[in-house]
Amino acid sequence: MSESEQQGSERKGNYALEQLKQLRARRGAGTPAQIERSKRGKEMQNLILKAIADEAKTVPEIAAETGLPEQDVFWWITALRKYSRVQDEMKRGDFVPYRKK
Amino acid sequence: MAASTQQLTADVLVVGAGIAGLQASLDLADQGKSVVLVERKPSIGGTMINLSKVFPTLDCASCITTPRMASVAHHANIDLFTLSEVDGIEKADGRFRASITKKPRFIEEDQCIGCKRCEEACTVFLEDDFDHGLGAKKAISIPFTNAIPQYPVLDADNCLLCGACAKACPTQCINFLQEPKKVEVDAGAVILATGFELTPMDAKPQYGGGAYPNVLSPLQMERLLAPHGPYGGVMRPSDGQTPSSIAYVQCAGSRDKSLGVPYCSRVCCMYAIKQAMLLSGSLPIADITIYYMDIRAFGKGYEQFYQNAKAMGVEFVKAKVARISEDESHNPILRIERQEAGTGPEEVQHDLVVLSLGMVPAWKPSQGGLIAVEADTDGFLKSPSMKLNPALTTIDGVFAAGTATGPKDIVDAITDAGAAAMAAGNYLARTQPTPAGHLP
Repeated sequence: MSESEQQGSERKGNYALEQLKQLRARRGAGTPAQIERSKRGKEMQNLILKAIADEAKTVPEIAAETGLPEQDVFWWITALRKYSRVQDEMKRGDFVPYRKK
Repeated sequence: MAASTQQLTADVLVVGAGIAGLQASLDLADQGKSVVLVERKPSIGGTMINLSKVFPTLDCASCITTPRMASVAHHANIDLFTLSEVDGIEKADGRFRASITKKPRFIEEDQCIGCKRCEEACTVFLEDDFDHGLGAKKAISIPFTNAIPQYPVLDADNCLLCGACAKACPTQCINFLQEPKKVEVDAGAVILATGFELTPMDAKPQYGGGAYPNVLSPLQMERLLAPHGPYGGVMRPSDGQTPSSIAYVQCAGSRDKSLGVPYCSRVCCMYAIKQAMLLSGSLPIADITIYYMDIRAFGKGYEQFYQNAKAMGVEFVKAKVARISEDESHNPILRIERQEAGTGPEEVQHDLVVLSLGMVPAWKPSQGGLIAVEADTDGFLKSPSMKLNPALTTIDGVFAAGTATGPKDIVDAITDAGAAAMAAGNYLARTQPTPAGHLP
């Protein structure tokens, strides 16, 4: 990227951040329910990733360790797996163990 | 921000870019006709791009659809509008004038390189509609791997305005204040390829669809069977367990006057058999049971496909499912009554259940909007000449393709689209002035 292109890119980047300021002033950064859902989602991600940081575990094992419902654990495992934060291990019985990448 | 209206002239306006809309557009464009193709979703491909394989050949659905999607996107005679709604079409002086709204993606398409860095940076996880809620996506995401066009869409309703996407974008193409754009099309003919939807999962509350995690829709099972499905295999949404017993409940959304769907949806028997065969391949020790009223295997090779499924060990039980409940481990329990003399109601437990939902029109003329064509008694588009020319609608110059006129399988939808393209071509030759120097 040339110097002038870099400057143009930075100008446009500042423009997007200006737009965000305008939008935040207009409608806030999400509804209280959205913010709460996002916060809860981050907490669940952290709990799950911590549970599988050192050892691969199945969904029921993660749920037992974290106290989260199995269905929620599996949905977050699916989400984290899609974005390469979690990897599958060799199947154990009817369940796949997952490990933090 | 005031946006100027884009004006276009075309031979044919095609509404809907599922497999029928794609085929009709390609057939017309290959004949030298100019086409404007409008799709309401962010990618073309319709329902077919969502499927794993097709019956009865078990060919890869994506391998059939993706080349057509790419051909449409790159065809010199086709102008493609995605994430766009046709607000209305009016006929005047033998021409059709359509008003289209192109919704904002909140990115500048001419600058986006499809690198997905915005998606990686985004911190908001949402249910992925491409995976029918089984998987996740981000608030800014490219709809699916082989989506066309390969541009992300920002879900403005769920964006928390953190700015992570804008910071990550190497071309700075995020535009949070992008507005809808208006497009007006002047066309000589119209093809409606508006497609279908499945009956809602909760249409029959006694089956627990939408309430029980292990009661799935057929499109959810398609995603589980797809090579790049959300779980990387067939597993139960409740706990990630590989199921050892899977049941299909036939006519769970069709042939039921109480749902307003008294007709047979024509594809449910075959897609259930196809999925059962694919499941037999991916889960060889699983028991697969299909509870049915009648098996309707009417197409070429379909009866043999049904017999092959039986030979592979798929169990067909002629029974009516009265209701579904679940135990504390989310195992669905079906209360059934076999249609055999001397049997009474019984309860059968399975690990996973698929409801074979029926097909209803994605756009009903009774909803208004689009164009004032007439609907048939089933809610699909009415064809005044169903046997001789099924592409006709009740407005001269407006043609129907695919499942817009009623439930069809993929083979019939593609054939139908070819017929609609030919009918539109003939109509143009009959009604539109020929440019000077060209023979009609």
